[in-house]
Amino acid sequence: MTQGALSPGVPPGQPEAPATHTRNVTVETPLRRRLTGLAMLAPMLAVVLVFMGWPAVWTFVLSFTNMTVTGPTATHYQYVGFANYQQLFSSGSGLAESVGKSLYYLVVSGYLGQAVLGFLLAYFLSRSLYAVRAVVGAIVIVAWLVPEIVTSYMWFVLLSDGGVMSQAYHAVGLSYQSWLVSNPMLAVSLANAWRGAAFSFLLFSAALDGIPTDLVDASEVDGAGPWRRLTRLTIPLVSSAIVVDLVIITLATLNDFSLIYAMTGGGPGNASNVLSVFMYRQAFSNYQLAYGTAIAVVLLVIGGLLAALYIRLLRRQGSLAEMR
Amino acid sequence: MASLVASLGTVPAAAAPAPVTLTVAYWSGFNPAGTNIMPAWIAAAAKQLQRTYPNVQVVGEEITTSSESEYYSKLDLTERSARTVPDVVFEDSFLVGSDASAGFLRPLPGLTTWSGWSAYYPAMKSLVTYNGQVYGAMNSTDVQLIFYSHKLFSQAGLPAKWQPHSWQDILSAARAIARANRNNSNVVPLWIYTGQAVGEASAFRGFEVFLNGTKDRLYDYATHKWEISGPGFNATWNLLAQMQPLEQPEAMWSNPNADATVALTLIPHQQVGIVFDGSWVATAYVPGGLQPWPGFFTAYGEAALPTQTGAAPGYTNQSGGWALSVPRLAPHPGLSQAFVEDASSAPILAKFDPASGNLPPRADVLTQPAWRASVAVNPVSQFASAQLPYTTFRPNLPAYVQISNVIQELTGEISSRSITAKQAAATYASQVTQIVGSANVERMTR
Repeated sequence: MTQGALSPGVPPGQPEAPATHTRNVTVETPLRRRLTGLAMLAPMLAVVLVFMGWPAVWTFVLSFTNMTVTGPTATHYQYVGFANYQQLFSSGSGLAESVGKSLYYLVVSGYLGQAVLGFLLAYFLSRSLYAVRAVVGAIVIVAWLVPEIVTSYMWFVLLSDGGVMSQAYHAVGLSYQSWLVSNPMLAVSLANAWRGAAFSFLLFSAALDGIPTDLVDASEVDGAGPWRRLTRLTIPLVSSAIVVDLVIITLATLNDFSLIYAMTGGGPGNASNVLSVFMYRQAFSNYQLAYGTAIAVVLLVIGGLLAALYIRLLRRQGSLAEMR
Repeated sequence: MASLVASLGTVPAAAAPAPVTLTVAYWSGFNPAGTNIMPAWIAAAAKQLQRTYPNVQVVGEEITTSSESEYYSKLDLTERSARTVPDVVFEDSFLVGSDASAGFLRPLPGLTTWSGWSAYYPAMKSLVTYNGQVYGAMNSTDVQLIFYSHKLFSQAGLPAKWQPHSWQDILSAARAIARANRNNSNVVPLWIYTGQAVGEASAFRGFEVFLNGTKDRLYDYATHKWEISGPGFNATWNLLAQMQPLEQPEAMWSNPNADATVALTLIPHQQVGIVFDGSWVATAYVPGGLQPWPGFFTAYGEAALPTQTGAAPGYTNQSGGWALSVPRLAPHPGLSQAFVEDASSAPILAKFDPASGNLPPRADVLTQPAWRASVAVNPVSQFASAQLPYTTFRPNLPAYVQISNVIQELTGEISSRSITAKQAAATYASQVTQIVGSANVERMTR
């Protein structure tokens, strides 16, 4: 290819360099730009499709079969249509109870224990002394750094018979029945809130730091009290952070398995059998692999619906643009 | 170059066979911390195998899970792929039929011509047989016993030497202990496995062994149908409901390590009156056991399990036991089978069975010096082997695994008082029908 072919219409004798630069830009068509973008995205896209897309599709496909861990249908499984879903949605399957427990876990440990607590921590610490902020912030973040399984074990030891809590009860002459038995959902929710509040705290701290001080000052001059400033100024200004926090917390809490499984195993009986534990028990303790995948699909749908709802709320507020 | 040299005959033509490493997968629950039961057994069998196959190394692969059912899930998942499959697997015999039907295990017809095969009790052969094919060799069995505390019995005015002759005798004794200790919340009148946390133990020792003391059974071999209801089922669910106020608190039974709670805490502190457990429990207290305590043999007595009303033959039992099998995808099936034979030989089982607290599955082990020496330190094994004539076995059928889970769940719901015995009976009938299909169930009226 000659230079002339690449640069038609250049009068001879003209300086080449700046002209070449402009021409190169014009050669980059929208199609080419799109292809370049795609090529750059390709490795990431491949990873997502292979390691996230394919298992999800395969889970969905398996939920229409009768595959088991052992027995004749372990390897020779067949398509059974909606049989797993029919069984799941029939009364007595335990699905309704598990959904209820998952929602309790989401509201108590996710919304109240993580989002609300994280926001309050961030809000009050943002207006306290630096030393207080540093110490409390560090403690909260350390809780987040502890591996989940260690958190589970710590809380198990704290709450079990003969543990710290029972010794504290006995020290003041009270009898203690382990919360792991008497109120297992509250026990696991406390542990999850303790562990996860730091994430919301960090997110809200960053968002609160981004509020211009002149706005706050102006509102004070206008005579807005602390409550009015919080509800009319601070919360609207961090609303996009709130929605992002809710989306992430909802998915993480609904899908949480290891903390509950390590602390209570879903028990006693079915008392803390949230959806993720219900799924695991059906798939790997009752060996009903395909039935377990049907529960996984239900879990995915619930998480997806809630996430879509938040994003819709965010759009309606018009704050999606702000996020960008 | 090497092949050229070999073909010219400068190295011996019969070169040593290539080194092979066999992996033997087993459950961590069989090898409690502080013991060396499984590695010692595998090493002894490997040593014997190497006399014939010096090129073979054997390594144990401990699969660590907190519950037995998770072990089976992990094991079955490894058996699906040639890249992860072990060479030999250690499985509870109740899973052998299910795994054989899944195509995970290799039929081993050669085992029936092995010299050791004829020494097995007939029932031990049928436990590893599925659809007329042999899928492994048993290495251990057990019986269920009642252990009772002499101290708590004497405090409650009960006899020093006790053998109940009906379920009513058991309930009366447990109630007497409860009355004598009504101000002592540390004493558990009666221990029975219940709920899903302890897995198969609840189905096996918490339900089936009692059902076998009635006229009903889980499975009717004459009609090839699952029995789903009948007077015996009703009586057994009722018995569990009657035992509920006398049994250990929920915090204990809902813990996956409940077996350790009773064996390593309650029994040593003599805080439990009556315990339904396996014959192996006493092994914990012998020298070299998990918690050596020679006093156990005078502190606790043992009794056989009576039938519901004492009807002939007076006693009942149920046995399980573990087998070694060879996965279908294992790359060296001949060597794997040779290992199974060596690991199941009489002199090696005479050491493994007492160490793991089991009874031998083949009669010729009882005359081995190592077994005789073990009976001297653990007299319970003598009493236990006398129960073998009354014993029965679980149906070795694929559906059993799921039905066992139904039973586990129902026993737990009775213990947490979330359902009545009547509701348990109805739920059992409907869930088993759902599992095996209405054509494969029958209701008993005898």
